[in-house]
Amino acid sequence: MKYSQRSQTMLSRTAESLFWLGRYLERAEATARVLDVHLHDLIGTTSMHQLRWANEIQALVGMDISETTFDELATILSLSKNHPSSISMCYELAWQNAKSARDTVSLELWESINVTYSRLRRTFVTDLGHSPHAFFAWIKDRSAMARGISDTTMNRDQAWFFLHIGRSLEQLDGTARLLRVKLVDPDGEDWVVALRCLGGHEAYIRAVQRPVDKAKAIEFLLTDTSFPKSILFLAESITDSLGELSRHIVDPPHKPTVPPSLARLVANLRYPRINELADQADSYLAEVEEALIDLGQTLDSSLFAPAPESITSHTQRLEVWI
Amino acid sequence: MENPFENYKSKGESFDEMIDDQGVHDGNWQLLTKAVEAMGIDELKRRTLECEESFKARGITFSLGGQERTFPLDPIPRIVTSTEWETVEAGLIQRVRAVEMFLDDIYSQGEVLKDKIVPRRLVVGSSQFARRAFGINNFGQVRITVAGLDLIRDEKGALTVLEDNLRTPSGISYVLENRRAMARILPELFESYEIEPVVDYPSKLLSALLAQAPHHVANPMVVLLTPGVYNSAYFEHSFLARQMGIPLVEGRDLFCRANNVYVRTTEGDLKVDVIYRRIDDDYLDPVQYKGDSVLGVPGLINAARANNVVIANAVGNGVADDKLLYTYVPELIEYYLDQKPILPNVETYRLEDRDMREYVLKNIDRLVLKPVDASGGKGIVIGPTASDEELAHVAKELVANPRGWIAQRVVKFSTIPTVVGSKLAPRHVDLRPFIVSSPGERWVLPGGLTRVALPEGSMVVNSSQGGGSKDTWVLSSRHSAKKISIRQTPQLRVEDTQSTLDFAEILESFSSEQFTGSDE
Repeated sequence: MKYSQRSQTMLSRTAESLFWLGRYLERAEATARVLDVHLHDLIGTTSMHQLRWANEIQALVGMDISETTFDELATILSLSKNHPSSISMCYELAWQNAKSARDTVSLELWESINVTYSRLRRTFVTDLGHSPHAFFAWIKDRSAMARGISDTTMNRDQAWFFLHIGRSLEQLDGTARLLRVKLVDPDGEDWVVALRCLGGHEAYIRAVQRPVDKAKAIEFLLTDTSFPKSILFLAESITDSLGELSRHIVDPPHKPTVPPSLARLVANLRYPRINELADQADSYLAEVEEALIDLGQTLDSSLFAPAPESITSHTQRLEVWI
Repeated sequence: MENPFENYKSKGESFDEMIDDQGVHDGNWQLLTKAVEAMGIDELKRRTLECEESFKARGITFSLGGQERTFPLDPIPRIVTSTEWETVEAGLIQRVRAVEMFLDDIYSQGEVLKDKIVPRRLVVGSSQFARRAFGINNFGQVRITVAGLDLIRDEKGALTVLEDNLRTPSGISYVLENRRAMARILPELFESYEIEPVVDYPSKLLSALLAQAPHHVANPMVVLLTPGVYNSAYFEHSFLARQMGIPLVEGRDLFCRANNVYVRTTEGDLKVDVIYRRIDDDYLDPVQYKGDSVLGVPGLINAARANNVVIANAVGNGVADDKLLYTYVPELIEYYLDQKPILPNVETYRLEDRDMREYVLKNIDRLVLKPVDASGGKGIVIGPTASDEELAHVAKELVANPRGWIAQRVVKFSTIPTVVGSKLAPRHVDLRPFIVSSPGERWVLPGGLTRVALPEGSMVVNSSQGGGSKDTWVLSSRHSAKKISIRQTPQLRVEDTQSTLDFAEILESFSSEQFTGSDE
């Protein structure tokens, strides 16, 4: 049979583009959420408080910490063309990756990203318009839309799983970074804000049914499998996706395997010693970090198949792992 | 409401496709004009704008100087009758067939050169002639998988060949997208006109590519090779890859090992059998061509020579795009096929001939001067509109390098009504039909890309220089002007309760209109 159908092939470059597309879409939304939450709470706070938040946010997005007002910071993180976590930059890179994988992402997903990107470039150049809230809400809407469209219009083949792993990995990274920043907070009073930064306050109330306190919040963010941004939920989701991917990939040497550090993380969070979760948060976060690094290596070496030296030197990737 | 066709006049010196000098309308345009009159130009423009917005949203754009631009679609289509199209089709197939035989010939035995039909130095002296192309595509493949010729309608209305594009012709994506857009802009007309569909193009192209795979391959892997996201036709590349369901690859995704070509995938390195490339010869293989090209694949040409991979279109086709060779195509048709050319060439002067050169220099302000190896309208000097300095400069150039230039009569391209402001005005158009060839079959896409020069009087249709496009409707032989009618959608007005509630009446008006004129 000369014309029999081929199994879907996925270029390594395209797989990598999809992975980063997922990451940047997620990161744009995460930045919008953090800024929106703090902007809202700004009213009636002292300048000391504002300064600390500004520092926290800088730590959260991996910026060098410098003295800056919250407003300036919000503008930079929304519109800067240099910072890899700024919303504008995230969409720029998401758009580039989507374009490079344009034969693989669904038409509707591409259209949605293209529209967001061109509006960002046209309308929001120097300021956030009449209402920063409206801007952040719009970004959150557009990101939710992109997620919904990809989930409903894309086949569950390799393309979707690479996109999905990118998204989950970025979320996992996001939750871990938030925990890390908040754990060093000397006052330790801001756990409601911390939850809200992930859109998880309501989820906490529903799941825990107790007032927010530090230990419960940490436990919730680490292990609550009903909360889709908890470390455990995301780690399991990535494990599952890697399993799905390996079912799509027939060739044994290229089957992605779950890194042992990730498997260990899942096991430790699934079966923790009683009451040690909050106290041991630091060591769990170290495990998350290890798992993230190993995941990156697994993807890079077995799936994104780095090209020989001569070729890599010409590629112009801008991706930044934080 | 003002009638947009009122005061529409042909410009006299060029042929108008709707209306003749006496102001008589071509019969096939009647329904279209009626529909546009009924709708009004504002509504037509509103619908067109809507489509343009959707083009932008979906990124149906080309990049020009870093900007993503849409190719403006004019909502008035071009109408071509089935009888005329049959002739055009035959003419295109004849021409591509002869040129294919010519390419095969010069890259093997060179009979045509021995018989002195075409001077040998013309062929080997062409910048596009490639010695590397010898011995490639000799395994039952075709050299011109996709051809995109440029046709114009001259002052008398005859379709004439202006240019052959046998390397990597582009524009097909706009043909398919324009048709989709037109179905939204003028849905009424798609019921009345029997229009030949264009949607078959991707599957025809895929079949043609598959049919050329090396014979021993059971399940060929076909890829589309693009220069990448920065190329101005990247949208088209991704569009075609999606439509054919084949991977869109860049040079860096491919590599050669032992004269085989592989693509890097998540499942490891897979062998590639057919490459539909949209990269110019010069950038294809840094081993054979430009050594600093990062777009190509080192070793590709040798893999093709070993018949382990097929490159479509073949390398070296550019020699037949040479505008001096263009002047020999009618002779080639007679030489190879023993037929009279069906589609004529534009009168062209070969400047290596002393008498012709003298004539051209004397009449330089009334001719068009074209460099032989440029494409996309680059370097062309139009005598009547050029400045004296430009003419003096080009005269000097063509005396110094007569092989590098041709001169042509200035043909007034035909005009078609085009939306300009709030009315319709005649604008010049050309036509790029597409011919897809596989070893056993040649297929002509019904219609093609009609490009329109939007500035008044301009005949430059290139997208980079203010050109737009039109949908091209080839009427099917089933189409009959008598059989058709436009159904008016009954208007329901809320304030007029009486009539909105009178469903019986509406139903009746529906059914009576549906049958109007359709009884034979």
